[in-house]
Amino acid sequence: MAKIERAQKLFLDSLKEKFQGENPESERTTFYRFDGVRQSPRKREFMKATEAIEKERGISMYDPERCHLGGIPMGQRQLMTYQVSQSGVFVEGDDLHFVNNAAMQQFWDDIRRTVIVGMDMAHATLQKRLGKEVTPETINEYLHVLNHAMPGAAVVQEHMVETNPGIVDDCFVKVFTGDAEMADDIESQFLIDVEKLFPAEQAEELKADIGKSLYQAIHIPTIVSRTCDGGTTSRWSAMQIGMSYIAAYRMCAGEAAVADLSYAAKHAGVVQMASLLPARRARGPNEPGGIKFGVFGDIVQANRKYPNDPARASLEVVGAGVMLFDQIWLGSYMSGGVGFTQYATAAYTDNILDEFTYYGMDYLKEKYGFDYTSPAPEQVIKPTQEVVNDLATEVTINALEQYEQFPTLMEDHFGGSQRAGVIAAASGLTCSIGTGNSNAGLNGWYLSMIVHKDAWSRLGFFGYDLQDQCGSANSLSMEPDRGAMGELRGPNYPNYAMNVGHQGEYAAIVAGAHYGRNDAYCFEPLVKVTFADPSLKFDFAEPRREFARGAVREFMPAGERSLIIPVR
Amino acid sequence: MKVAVITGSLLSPSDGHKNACHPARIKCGGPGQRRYCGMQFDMLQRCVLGDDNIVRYVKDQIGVPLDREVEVGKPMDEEWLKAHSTIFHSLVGTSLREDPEYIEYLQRIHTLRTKYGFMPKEE
Repeated sequence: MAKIERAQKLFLDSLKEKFQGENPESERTTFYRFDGVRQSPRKREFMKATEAIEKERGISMYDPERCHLGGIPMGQRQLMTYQVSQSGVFVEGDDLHFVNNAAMQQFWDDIRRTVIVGMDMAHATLQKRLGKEVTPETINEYLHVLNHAMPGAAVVQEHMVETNPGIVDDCFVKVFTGDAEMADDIESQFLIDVEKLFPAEQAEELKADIGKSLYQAIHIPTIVSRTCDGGTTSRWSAMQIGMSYIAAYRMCAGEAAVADLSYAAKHAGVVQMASLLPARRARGPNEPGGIKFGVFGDIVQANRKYPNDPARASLEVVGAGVMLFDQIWLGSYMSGGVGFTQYATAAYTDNILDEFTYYGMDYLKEKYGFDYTSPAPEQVIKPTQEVVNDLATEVTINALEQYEQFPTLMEDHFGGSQRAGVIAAASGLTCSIGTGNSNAGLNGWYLSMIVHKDAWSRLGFFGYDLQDQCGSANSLSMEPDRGAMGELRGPNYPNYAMNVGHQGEYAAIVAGAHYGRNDAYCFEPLVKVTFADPSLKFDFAEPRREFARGAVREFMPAGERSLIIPVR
Repeated sequence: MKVAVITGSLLSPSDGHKNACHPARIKCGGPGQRRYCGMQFDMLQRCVLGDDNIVRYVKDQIGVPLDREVEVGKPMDEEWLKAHSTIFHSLVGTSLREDPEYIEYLQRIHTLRTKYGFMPKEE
């Protein structure tokens, strides 16, 4: 184990922008002189907006100079701007809270409103039980009817109310298959074309594993899943599917065999994005806590766009994962308030985790000859304990040294938990990308925590110490706590369910194992293809760039209600 | 050190205190800045460094002003602190990288914990 030279420091540009006029390596700084919250244009905007709101409603609201810490407002230190990593876009911290960021909302909306439903069983029932002929023409006709019905339109009965198309224009259904001949027969408007959307090798792998089956990728209206919940998605979809089959194939709704079709078409072939959670969590399917890490790695599409940069692809999963699992799931579903955002953004801003991870990539090449720019199954390193120990230790020590050399980096990641999460993430990613083994990556995470704790005598808050110092024992074993391979673990896995700053990174570590092998998918090829669809509102190949667009208010979301409310 | 200035910094203008001095407006570089030089950041500014180089607590743990200052002595000498640091540091004291025995010990702990996650049985 020996330090390698890496002249490029990806985080330096951000540090210079954030701490203008300060030498990033200076040991001295100043406090209490920044004009409090007024130093931030966004906070000033909030204060101005509040004046009008208070006049309008007659109730006091945002008053940071009186209400914060007994009259000591935020901003005694520099209120930093943040670069969303590898986007080149600097934003205010406030703009990365999901309430202020329409792209973040849409990211989660697009997952929650999605369900995949197989068509093979429905077609078999139509042919064998109902004596109907199923041809490419009837399938296209059915899809036309379904794209009428799915947003909330009637196909069978008189006097039905319908939804305003302008409000549900994000709702649609497409199909995909591994059978190129069948794909040719589907109207292009209804087809997710695997061959066009994926690099050739990935497309071949996906087509082979999907086979000749035909699947519907269904996205119900954003506004429906928002008003209800993720459990609604399959129910809304099922109702419209049933009605569309009846209409497209001219069936009698009361016929006994239609009951068979109902089950076969609406329920038997359903793939949810997230599993139902235990009763104590009180959440249905398609809610964040039930998304398996392997599935999450397939929802994010960065490896499709950057097949020769598994580090970049994994870092996109980190950004997407901490936003969903920390900011939305733990931060709001499970807890509340605004605090989790500050923690989560550390992992996808200012190119800090990126720098630490690319150091790991350089180390892999220097010491093991693993060229991360040409990922392939045959070049991954055998995941021995010795290799994991070496990789995780080196990446961790390098990261510690960077914080020691650049005090502004320490100021940027001012919390122990921020640093611990970022350092361990870089270590875990290096292990998983280099070995192609998700559990080896998780194991590297925990060694990083132990090294970090002994180097600096602290990690983060108590929850951090608790979770991360007992993690070595469950990172590889399948027995304790009903363990499982990384792909099958998720935010509700026993040791992972309790605190912020882990779940997004774990998802990325799992995904990185596959990106390092240039696998076409991590766990579920159907999910990989579904989220490759360019018709989705959110571009899942570039989650961090999309979040940056949301922060600077350039992202146009779905589910807007302007058509049904008074003009402002 | 002018106690009145410090007391003023504790109070919000909204309290109506005529000596109130908004902490956010305190400027660096004037005579008052001396109070902070060399001190670790504390948003509540519970202890301050006086012109006589003595550190005094002026607020309790949650920021309520004390009825009198509590002297806690001179700041530690930085050179002494660096020489007696208990953490590894690549620029100050000992770098973890330069202590291979310690690294081996950490890796051994992790390896054993990983192994015993499998609940091995005695042969």
